[in-house]
Amino acid sequence: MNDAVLPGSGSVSTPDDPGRPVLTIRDMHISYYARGQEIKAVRGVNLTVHAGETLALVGESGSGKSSVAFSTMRGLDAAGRLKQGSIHFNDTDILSLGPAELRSVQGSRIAMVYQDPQTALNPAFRIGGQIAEVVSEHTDASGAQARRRVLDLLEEVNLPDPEGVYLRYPHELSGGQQQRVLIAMAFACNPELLIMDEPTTGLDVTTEAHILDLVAKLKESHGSAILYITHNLGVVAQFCHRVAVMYAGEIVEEGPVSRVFSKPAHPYTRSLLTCIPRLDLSKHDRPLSAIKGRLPNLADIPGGCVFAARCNEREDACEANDVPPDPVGDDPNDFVRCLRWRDIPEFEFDRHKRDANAVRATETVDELLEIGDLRCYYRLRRGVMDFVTGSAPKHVHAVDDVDMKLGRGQTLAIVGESGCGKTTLGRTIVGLQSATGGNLVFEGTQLAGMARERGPDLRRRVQIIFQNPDATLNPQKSVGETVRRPLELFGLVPAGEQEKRVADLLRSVNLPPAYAHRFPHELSGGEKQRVAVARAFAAEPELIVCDEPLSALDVSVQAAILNLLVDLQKSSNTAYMFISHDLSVVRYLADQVMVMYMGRVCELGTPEEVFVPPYHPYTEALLSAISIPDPSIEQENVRLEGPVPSPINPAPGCRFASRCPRKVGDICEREEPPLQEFGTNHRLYCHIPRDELEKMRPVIRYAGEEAAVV
Amino acid sequence: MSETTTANGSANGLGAETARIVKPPRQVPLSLMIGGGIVGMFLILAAIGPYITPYPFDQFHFSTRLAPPSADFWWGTDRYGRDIFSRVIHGTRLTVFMAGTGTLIGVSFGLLIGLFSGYVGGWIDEVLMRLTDIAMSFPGLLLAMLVVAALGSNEVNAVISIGIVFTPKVARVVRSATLGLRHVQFVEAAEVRGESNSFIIFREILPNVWPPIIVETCIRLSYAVLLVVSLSYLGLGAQPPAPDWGLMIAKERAFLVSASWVVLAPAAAIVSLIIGVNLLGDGMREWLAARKTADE
Repeated sequence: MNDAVLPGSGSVSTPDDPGRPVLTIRDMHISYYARGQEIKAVRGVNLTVHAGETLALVGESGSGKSSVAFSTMRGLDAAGRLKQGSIHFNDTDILSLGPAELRSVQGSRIAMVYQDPQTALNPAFRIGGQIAEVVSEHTDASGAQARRRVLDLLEEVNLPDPEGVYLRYPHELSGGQQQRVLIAMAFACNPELLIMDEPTTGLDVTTEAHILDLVAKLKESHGSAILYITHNLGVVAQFCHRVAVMYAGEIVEEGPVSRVFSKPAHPYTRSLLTCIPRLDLSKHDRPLSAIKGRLPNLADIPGGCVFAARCNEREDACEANDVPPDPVGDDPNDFVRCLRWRDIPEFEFDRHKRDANAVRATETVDELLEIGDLRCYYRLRRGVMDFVTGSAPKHVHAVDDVDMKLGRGQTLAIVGESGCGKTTLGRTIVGLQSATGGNLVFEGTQLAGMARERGPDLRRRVQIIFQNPDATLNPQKSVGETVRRPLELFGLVPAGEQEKRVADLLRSVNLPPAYAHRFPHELSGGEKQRVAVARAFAAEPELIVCDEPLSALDVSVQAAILNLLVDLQKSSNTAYMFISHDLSVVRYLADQVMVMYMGRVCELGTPEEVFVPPYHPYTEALLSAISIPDPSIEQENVRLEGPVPSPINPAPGCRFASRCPRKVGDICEREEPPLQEFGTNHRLYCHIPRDELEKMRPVIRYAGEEAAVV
Repeated sequence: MSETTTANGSANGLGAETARIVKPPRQVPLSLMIGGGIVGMFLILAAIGPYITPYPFDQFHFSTRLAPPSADFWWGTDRYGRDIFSRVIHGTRLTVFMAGTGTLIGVSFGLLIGLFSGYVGGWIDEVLMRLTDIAMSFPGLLLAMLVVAALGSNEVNAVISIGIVFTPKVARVVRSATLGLRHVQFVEAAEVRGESNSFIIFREILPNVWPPIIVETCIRLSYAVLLVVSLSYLGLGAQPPAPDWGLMIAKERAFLVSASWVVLAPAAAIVSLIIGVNLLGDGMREWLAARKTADE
């Protein structure tokens, strides 16, 4: 499977002959009404999706991309209103359709795939029935014919055992499988237009890669046009023909993917492309470029260019005049709304080619945290019948025999997909749950299980930053109270000086000190996460566990928080344990990377070691699945087959054996993989012979070169 | 497309999203204003009632027994010739005070038990919740009667019995609200800091469970009014000659047909107080929900 090399990003070119328009949106204006204000979420959007083409609508949260999609299906929620505009599907005016006509179009000729498969499927009905309903609603298929058709569809979306899946309920399928079911449902009637709203956002990278492959395949065979809504530029580069970039309710740039990604014209598009950490950039190279400021208030939009306030290329003229679309090429659908795009220097990806063999001199640092043979098992509740039959208690092996060390001021990143045990490991270290066995040694002191059993000094020195900015702050406490509490609790600062210290802390996370009087609902997601960072640093910790602190944030905000974390680490010499599923972020931030799969460590080393061969086969698959928005980078195409095995009482041998594309043989299922060491401290647990590992090809390469991108 | 076509699109009924303008959430719901007004009026009567009534509640007028409403006796008199208007107004204080105190006792204990049980969890939660199950398996009035029968019939014991009936119900509501916050990240952040249980319960969780507690208190209050008058009606609450509404209905019910005002007047007072409290609760729920969505 590894010899199938896809050219990777930017490989999908515009069809030479643009088909007839399937969806035409003209001058669309959508407003939401709240608290007596009109929030102009979408203003003057024009979009055309041609037959057989995939158009990506890209934007960060608040850009209005989902409003455009929902109104196309006449599905705006009660607070929203389509104020102006026309929507034509082929020659049908969608807005003039009656309920019955609309229903006959929806589901059969236009289908939609939503972000959250769990809420899109009815939990009370079997999978087969739900798809069959779509088939029999829109065709005159008999019961048996509909069933046949559903089984074909389930087969087509690569679900194993279609007969079995037909009879199952949604909760019996994994998230990726549920999304496949929704895709099967969407393609059930060969729709001419498919609207996909962030269909892979909640999924793991390897699952996402599969789903995208699948949609690309089905699109070819069914000839559907796709309107693909996403915030992920990497996916767009891989998968779409054209892209429209939305910002604050307007399309600021539109064009073929090949042009937009190689020569982005609008400063916003450029910023989006550069604020994503790339695999060739590390914190030692340079800070990430973040977008300053925040989204304009959509209830009171300033005149001129919407992006002007945050733009580095701004001139006075930008704010004075409205900006008309300016064609970039000959195609009217290739335009940018910027007055200055011809004047600003041509865009270039800032590449950091380095010699993969030149290992950065590892500084000798004091050891801060040492973990030995750490195990965290959850005991499953035993039912009455288990006692009757006397079956052995079942354990979920969340973390199994993990060994690692973390030096003072260093960053250890833990990567892996959901369920790999990375979060459990982090929670065990901060004392939110206790380990089943093994050692946790912090600066020579054995750490007790739960935080409360540890002394106040140990608790102060280990802090945590959580994933979800909306839940991380107590909504009833002001920012000042939140940040002050650790100062008070650990007696770090005398009462009289606390206010000053809070102001300093807020300033250090780039928030104005006046924010101390604000409450969480007055803050944006990024600002909440900054407060959480300030709260963690208030305790003057030596180790901070960061549990996916960026995954809920927009890319431009992510970059700013990453820069902040790097700066704070430099000034305070705090160590981070950074839990993430995002390999590019990990590449940027980490000094050490630990790849986990089902509770076990697969590979451990510096990013320069882990991201180049020899790889653990799982690392190889993860690297292959990430999407990079740079057409000049090639990726090997490795896809994982098979289901994720159950973590309950796992079988002996390598946990990855059941899905490993490079499985050696029976030995993988029988014996624990041995430790193989490369270089100074690159550890890899695998049965594959050493010389074979060394012969692996880099997964991510610059086009036409053999060297790995690191 | 112009505004007119948009309006056509909505005319077919399904295009609601193109036509409906959602008004901003009303600042104070109507039900909250009416309910608050009624309850406020009863509170004022409870406070100043005895000073404004035309007659003392226990003054007999033997010449005008069971007199229909008139200019002298606005709501008529009972079988001893006592002025019913004066008695109903006097009785407000007793009913409002007993129902209010009983509710307060129930909510306070229920709040503490619910917060503690929900946060600490484990076997303590298990034991406490089984106890509340046992308490809740008795119908409210029956449990209250059992308590009063055991402690003796008087106003204080009636209040205690209401507190006992309400505690498990409030505890359940508070516990479920607490469980929802048990593993929220700001609570876990406090645990990592090593905050004490009482800090986490009272400073992190409690401020976030007020909305359901306020709504529950209003619901409880209307049941408390009903329980107070039921107990007095059964002779288990206030004792004669106290001008208690339930007691008045019980003692005068024989005259329901011949002199209906003797029963209707206290009954009307009970009904309007309960309606007022219910409206207040509904309005409060609506208002708190609107505030919450507006915040988000």
